[in-house]
Amino acid sequence: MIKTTNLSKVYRTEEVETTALNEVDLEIKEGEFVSVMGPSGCGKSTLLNVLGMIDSPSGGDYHFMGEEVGRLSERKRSNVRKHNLGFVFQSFNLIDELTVYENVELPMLYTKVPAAERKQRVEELLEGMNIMHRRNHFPQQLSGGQQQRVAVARAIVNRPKLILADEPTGNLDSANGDEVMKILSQLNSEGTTILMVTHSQYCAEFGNRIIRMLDGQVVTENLVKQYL
Amino acid sequence: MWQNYFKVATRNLLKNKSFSFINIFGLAVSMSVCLLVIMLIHDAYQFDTFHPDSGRVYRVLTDAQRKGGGEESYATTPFPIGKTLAEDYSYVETWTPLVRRLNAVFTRQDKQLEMRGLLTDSTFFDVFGFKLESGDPATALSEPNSVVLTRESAERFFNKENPLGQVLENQTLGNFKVTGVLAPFPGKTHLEFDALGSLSSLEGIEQRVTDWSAIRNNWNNYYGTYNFVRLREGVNRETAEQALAQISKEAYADLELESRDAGYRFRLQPLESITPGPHFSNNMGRGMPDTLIWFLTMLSGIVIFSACFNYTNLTIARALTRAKEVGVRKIMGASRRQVFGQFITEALVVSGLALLMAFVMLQATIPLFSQLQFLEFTDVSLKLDLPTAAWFLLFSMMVGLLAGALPALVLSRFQPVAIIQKLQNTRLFRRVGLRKVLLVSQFAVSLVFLILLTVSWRQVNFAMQGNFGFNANTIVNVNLQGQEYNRVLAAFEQNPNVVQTSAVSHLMGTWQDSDVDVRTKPGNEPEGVRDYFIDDQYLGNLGIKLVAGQNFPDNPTQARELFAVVNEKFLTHFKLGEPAEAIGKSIIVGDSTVLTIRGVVEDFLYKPLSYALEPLLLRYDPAQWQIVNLRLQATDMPAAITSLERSWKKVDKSNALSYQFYDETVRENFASLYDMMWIVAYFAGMGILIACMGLLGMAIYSVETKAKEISIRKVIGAAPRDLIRMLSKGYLVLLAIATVVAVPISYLLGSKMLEIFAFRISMNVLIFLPGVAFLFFLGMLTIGSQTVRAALGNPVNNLRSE
Repeated sequence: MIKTTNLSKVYRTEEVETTALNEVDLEIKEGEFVSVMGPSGCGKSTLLNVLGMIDSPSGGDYHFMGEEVGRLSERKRSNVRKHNLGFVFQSFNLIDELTVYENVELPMLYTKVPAAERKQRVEELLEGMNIMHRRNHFPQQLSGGQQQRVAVARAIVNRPKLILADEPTGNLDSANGDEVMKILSQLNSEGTTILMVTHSQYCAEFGNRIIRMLDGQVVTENLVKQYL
Repeated sequence: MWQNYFKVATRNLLKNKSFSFINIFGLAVSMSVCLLVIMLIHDAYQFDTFHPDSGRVYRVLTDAQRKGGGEESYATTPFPIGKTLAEDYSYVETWTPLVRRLNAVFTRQDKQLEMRGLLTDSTFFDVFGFKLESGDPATALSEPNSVVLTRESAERFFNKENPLGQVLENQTLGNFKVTGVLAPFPGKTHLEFDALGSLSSLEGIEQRVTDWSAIRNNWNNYYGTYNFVRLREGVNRETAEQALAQISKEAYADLELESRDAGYRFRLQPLESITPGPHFSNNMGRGMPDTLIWFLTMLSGIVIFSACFNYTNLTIARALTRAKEVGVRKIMGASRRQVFGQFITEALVVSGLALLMAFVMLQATIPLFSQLQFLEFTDVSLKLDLPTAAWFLLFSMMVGLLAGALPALVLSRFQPVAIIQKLQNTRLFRRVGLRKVLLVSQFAVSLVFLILLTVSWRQVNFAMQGNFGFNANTIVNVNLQGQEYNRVLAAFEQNPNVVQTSAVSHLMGTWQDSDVDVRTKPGNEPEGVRDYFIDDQYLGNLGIKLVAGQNFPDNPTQARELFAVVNEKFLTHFKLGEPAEAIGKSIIVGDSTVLTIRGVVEDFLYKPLSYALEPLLLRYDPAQWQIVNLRLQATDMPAAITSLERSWKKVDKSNALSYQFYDETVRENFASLYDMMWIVAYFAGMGILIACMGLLGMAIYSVETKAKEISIRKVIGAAPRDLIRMLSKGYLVLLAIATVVAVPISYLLGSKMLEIFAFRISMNVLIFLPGVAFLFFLGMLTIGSQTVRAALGNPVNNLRSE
């Protein structure tokens, strides 16, 4: 599904040049659940952003589902993104002015899903996430765990092939964190590919492969125990 | 999708109430001004819209080229030019002349009424969309001495009686038989008349009134006829104008022109662009001059741009608060166009709400504006109909687009990755310099308005107190209304309230005007001099002083018409020497009338202050007197007027006394200036209010963003005074820059404006001071309202939230 060759990302300011990704070669197959770990500033989130096509690489190749996407225009990237990718963030990133229902519905507005189907899908997901009773609440009125469940629902509502999760449990207590990880595992078992950045070994082990990064490079790749 | 946009827009407006209020209220204030101007302009364009095929109808104009250089354009043309064009050129479908030879007082039994009349024929009903409610349009204007009346004039003369077949009398022009009555006009028109006489009456009129310059075959009389033509379909204006050039070349080849003229050029003016349109001499009718439309549009443009700028400025400044939302939307798949659409929708929602608020404000403004006299002068009214409402909506959408375009562009450019990275690092404020420049411009424009307002207010006051050099107090001017001067005078002289009487052709100290060509020797180039016809009592009654010679003799056996009294300026202008030397010298007036200078009066202002002091010629001719000046001596003015009315009844039973106090008349000349001042004041007020709203928005924003800094400074020991100084300093510098920019601009504009006045105030520091002080006062108040609150707040709140 994902294949990168010499993928790099350099940030330049007037005084400094920072290499966030340094010639990363990586391959992720369909159906995998890959966790990315490493110290702060090692380039995990940059990798996720570039692979999620919300940031463009400075060099190297990036093939997504057999197509070179690294040098696509923002419009084309947006198109690939909305039909294939779902995002989950540490800080949830729900739109404060929209209700739970409207937040989950939002991605389908951009993919022009008919209204009746939108309603059906949102309700199914909210039922599944056990937050249907909160459908008309605004994000600020929910607990962190509830907000992250809404964010996950929003990420999967368009049935993406790949979910990119950036420390999805980072702002949650352990019970809520577990809840979210179980949902991601469930999605993976149903066939969705997942790429997750995390600091937590516990969470990383929900996946089947762990990639460790340092200074913008992939240093090790290991299968999780039960997959050895 | 739109539903989603609207939802987010309204929720955002409700969430940030103070910013929403600033945006909506600011736009509403400026929109209410613009709605008013839209109403005025819309109505100003409703003239002459009811004529059939009006797109093909043109009025022929004369550009008279003067010998001394320069050109004067007239709405009138020589009668034969229309006739020749219609007869010799097949592409003219119809021609209709309107001849100004029927302005007179007509009598019917005991009623005497003044009428504005035009001579024309049946083509009038073909070219214009006026309909007859009685009479036959094909024949009503065929026979000599036939007249068609407007419904109003028919009612004035005949009440409920049938006017057809009745006769209106006039000793000079003859008797006219009523052959038709016009239906009420279907709309507004620049054509002003109470009656239409048959063109075939012109021959008889010209035989009776020999001292009028002939019309029909006279190529030199370009003052008496409005020529209208309708061109055939597909014929363009240029083709017809080429024909006009050809006709005039042939007609004037061997003709001696008027003494002051070097040649003429004729051109066509579309009927649809007469009103509103440029001003020409002999223009008929009221209607807004196009310069006034431009002036109002410009003022509204400044005000609306200023308000749009506030919206743009505040929205961009606060864009950071929306960055996360934009990022999320983009990650979810929103394209840049969709994000742009969303923010434009928000601006449209704001401008829609502003429109509603502006509409309410408009209801309060309309009664104030309706009192302005210029609306009456220009025959424009403020009314709301469906097309005006449609214009309002369209305007509000345009404002939304204008104000929202830049923020929408900025916000839609946000990269989705920005939300993952730290928002504080996003460089959104690269345009701070531009925003400061715009804020300075806003205040500079407001200050220019304020200073110009001070200039006009002082000038009008100066003019009002100006000494006209004649004593207008306690004089009542009575219009003769066609009555014989001697009878009227005899009636008033018996009235104990009247202490002195005199007669004059038209009033000094007003815009009423008349001039005549004057030479001192037959070979000299004639020059136009303003003239008045007065009686021998006039100088005494108005307190005008003679410096040499004598007044007109009071002995009727002397040929008083052959004397002239002039002012000192006349002598210097025509180099006639000292006043005493000038007495007895001759001057030639008009073509050949020789007058002897009998007296010289000292220079005095006989025109409103916009005129420079010019040569003045006073003549004697009872036929020209239109007004009697009655000097009253009475403590009870209402009773005195009642007694004047009784005296008038002895002379004229059918018409009421038409009078006005002279000092009021003089003051009314400044009505249009007052109106203009009022309008500038209104726009200045709006401009300042909007600029202050913008400043308030920026002050709230800057205090909000500096909340943490303020708290830290307080914790480490800053006193409220230091903080207020720190927060206000930047804005005060901006206000100071605005002043530095505005003062020279308003000095230039103010001096230019004062140039139209011959007697004017001088530009000094007192002109600028009130505006600058007012601006600083309001600016400080606005900034202070926010900074003081921030400086006195509890520091822990902001630190805790961090």
